[in-house]
Amino acid sequence: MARMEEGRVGRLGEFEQAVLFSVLRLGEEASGVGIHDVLHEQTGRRVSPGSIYTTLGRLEKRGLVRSREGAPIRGRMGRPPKYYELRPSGATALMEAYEETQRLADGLLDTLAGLADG
Amino acid sequence: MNVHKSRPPTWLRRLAWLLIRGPDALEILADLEQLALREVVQGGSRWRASVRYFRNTLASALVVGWARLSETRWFQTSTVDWKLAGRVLLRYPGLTVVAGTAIAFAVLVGATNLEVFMDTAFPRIPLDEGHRLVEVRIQDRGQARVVPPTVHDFVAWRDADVGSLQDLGAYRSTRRNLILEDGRSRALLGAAMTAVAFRTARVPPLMGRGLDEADERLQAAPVVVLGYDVWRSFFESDPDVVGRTVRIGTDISTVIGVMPEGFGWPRAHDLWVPLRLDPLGVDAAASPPVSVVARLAPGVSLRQARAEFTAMGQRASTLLPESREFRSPEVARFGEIPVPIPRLQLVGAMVFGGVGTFAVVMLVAWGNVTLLLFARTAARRRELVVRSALGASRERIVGQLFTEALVLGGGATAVGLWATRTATNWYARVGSEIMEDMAGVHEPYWGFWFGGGLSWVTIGSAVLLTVIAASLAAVLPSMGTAGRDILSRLQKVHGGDSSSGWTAVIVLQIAITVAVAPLAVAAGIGAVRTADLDYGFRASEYVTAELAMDGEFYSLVEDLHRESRGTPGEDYLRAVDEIERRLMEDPRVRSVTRAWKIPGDVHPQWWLEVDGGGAPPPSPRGHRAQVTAVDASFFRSLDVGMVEGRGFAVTDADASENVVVVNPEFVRRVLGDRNPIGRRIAFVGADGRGPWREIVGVAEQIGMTPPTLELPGGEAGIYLPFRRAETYPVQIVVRVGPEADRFASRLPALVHEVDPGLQVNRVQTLDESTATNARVFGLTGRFLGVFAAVALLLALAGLFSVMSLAVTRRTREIGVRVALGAGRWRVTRTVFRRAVEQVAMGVGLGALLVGVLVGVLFNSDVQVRPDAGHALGLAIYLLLMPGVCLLACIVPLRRALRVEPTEALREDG
Repeated sequence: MARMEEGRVGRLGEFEQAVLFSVLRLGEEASGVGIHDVLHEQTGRRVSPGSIYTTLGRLEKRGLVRSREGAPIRGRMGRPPKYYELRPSGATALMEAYEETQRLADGLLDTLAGLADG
Repeated sequence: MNVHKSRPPTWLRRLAWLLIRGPDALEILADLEQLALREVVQGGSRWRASVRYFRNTLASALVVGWARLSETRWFQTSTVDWKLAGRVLLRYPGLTVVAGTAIAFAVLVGATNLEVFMDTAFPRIPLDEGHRLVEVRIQDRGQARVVPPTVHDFVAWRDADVGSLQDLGAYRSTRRNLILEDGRSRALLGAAMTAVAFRTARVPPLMGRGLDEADERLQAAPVVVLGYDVWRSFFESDPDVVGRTVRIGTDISTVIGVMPEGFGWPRAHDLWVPLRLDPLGVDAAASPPVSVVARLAPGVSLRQARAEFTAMGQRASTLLPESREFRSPEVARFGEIPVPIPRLQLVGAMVFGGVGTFAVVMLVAWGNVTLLLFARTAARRRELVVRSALGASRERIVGQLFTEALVLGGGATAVGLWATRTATNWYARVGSEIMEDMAGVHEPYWGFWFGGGLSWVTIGSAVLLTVIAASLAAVLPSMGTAGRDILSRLQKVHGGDSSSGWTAVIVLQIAITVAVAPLAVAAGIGAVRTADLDYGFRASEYVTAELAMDGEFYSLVEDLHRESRGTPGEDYLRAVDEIERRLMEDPRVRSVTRAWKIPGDVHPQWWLEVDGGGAPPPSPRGHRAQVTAVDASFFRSLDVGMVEGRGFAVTDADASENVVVVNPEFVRRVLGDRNPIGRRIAFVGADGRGPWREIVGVAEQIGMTPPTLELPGGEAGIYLPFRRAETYPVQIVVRVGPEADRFASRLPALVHEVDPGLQVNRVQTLDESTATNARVFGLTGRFLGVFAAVALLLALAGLFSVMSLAVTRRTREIGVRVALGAGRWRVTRTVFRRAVEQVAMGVGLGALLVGVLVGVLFNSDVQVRPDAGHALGLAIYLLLMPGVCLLACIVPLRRALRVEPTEALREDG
């Protein structure tokens, strides 16, 4: 059962990690538009709301984030924004993914910088 | 700020609502709107915000749509089916290879046929706005044919300033010798064209410049633009070629540019020179023909251009009723075949001829593939039973079978289309080489647009036919059954009504194999026999070449209506005389002679009448014999002695002398071995009987037409005296000796020293004169051989599948019968009776097809007369074929004979 649970959570993709970090950065203000802005500011990528919500929906289904409805604001067709926050399992998965990347990069950054400088 | 005015337009928002669906749709739409609104609030333009909104909408719709699709049950089960289909293909490699080969070959045959048709009937010109290029021709209503316009017509249209066309230019195809300082020369297809016609292609030169109006002036210095291949191969890619002077025929021309690779405008031309028109110097009646090309003016349709030219033609016929009454200008898409066929008929021909043939070929191949798939499905009954027991519906099982057929068919079709692409490119290349070898005087029939990529019609037809065939292959086995009856249906594959369809498929396959194989063998034998012509003298010691006048080609339009290649001019005759004289001065040359057709050429066969009777004629029209015209020195030069009478004297060529020389085969076949000398013959043509000609000699038998096919007149031959002023083009035959090969490469330079404008075609040693024909037959034979092999492979695979299946299904029955005391052979005979019947029917039908084919050929002009050897060969072949077909039954038969009653009963019990 534990294996199945683990399999269901699975590995995080590169974009999923980016979305989770954005949620983390925004704290209680992690709405779709907020995540869109963080991704643009931090990575320069303009991502469509469709991609963000599809990813958030998937993460929610895997139990890594949860959502709540906020107060209605103007200019959203009268619809209140949805705010997301990391669940403990989401935090664990994100941390593991980050550590994995760090382990892979450990001791290689100087070499990488050297190569990049040509 | 007014929120309503800052939002994206309503229609855009409605579109977003329409496209984005799903549980998060409202969140997404709200975010889209919030982002757009914020951009405007922060000072951005509404337009830019709307564009971003639109882009985000499309991207969101795609992502959400894909996510939703991938979550559907259909998608997930389809994915399983695709994976399963891949595994099944790998699990049955034999079947995959056989069925895949059959489909790929069917696609190759059908798609190549369609592609060649498309290239011919609906050419896609790979130039900027190539579909707007047009050709202006003349419709001659009096003779119901298309003829080329004249210079006079062209100038009239150009000066009339027609509004529907722009870039109206003219060209004539020419064949010119390109001669370098070091004596190397090559005859190339050139276009003498106006600067406007050159620019119509809209292709900038790779180097230098293209043709210019200044080059067209009569006093301008001769210039030439070279094609890429000529520059690469002839000038070794010289980067400084621009400015070099070269000899183009009799002109010393300056190279002004090189065109990029693949450029062959307007057809398959290698060099371009200015067309210098002198309209004032030519009256309307004697105006030479040209080809006229143009582009449709912006916004003008082909129909409008046609209307304008039709109106212009009507005005001209009113003004000049005598000459123009039946001539009306016609605008056609560039590259379309120059015959007056309405476009609708062409489309009909494409659908019925091209796509229809494709469908028939696919039907035959897929019929067999369906049989193989069906047999395999029946063998997998246990797997399907399990799936069915686990709750798989009939639709699911059919869906899985469809996916399997589609994976197999899709892969094979992709391979077939790739092969088609290779084949069409190869066809274009080899075709042009063969045409070059044959040294035709017309433009190439194909243009630079032939080959290349496949048309969408071809690709679409292949995909559509594959999907339809895969659907039928999946659905047919279960048709007429309900629910899970598909499984019981699979059990009945070999019994009763359900196998009648497969019987037809197998019978047809065997019949095709039986009928095609002899054709392949005949073509192969033709190739061998062509190459093995018995010359009757040392042909390798002679060098031959065709000498033609440099000058203008006849355009494709003209060539369709031409019968003769013209008569030689004074300059030409003088030049040939001088070449002969110089050749004779060369110490390596032993003799020089001339002929109309040389040994190894296909000689025309003429009907003739014999004065005083001879052998009974094989046809009511009389006898036929091969004919050529040879110089007085011909027999002496070839060391051919006279059996009776005399050879030709120089005076025999006078028009008043009507004498001929015949060969011994003529004496035997036509004269019935009666004394030939002094007898008279006359040729019989469409205009009736010609003058009587007296036989003055019988020359030893030497090779004439290669014995590729049995000619009606056999080897009977007649030699006419060579009349220099009438015979064109001349073939010279130079006796050199063992070094003929080396001498051949020097001959063009020697000819060009005398006349740089003279074309030297087909320079070869005489024993190579059959090479081109042998190549054509060899290629045909190989193609038919592969075709027959694939048909045989399919037939054998079909028989094998059905027999294996029958044995598997009836193992228990065989076991019971053997246990009850029936002999093994007797039992298996009942199992294999159907296979024997199918083979017998197939071979019988095939033999009937062969008979029909032989009958058609026997009655046609070619007249293949099967002799006893042919008949015997065919009989042995037809007797052997059943044995070959039944080879497919050996393995199942052995299995049936080894059935042990105890095991068989245990297995199924």
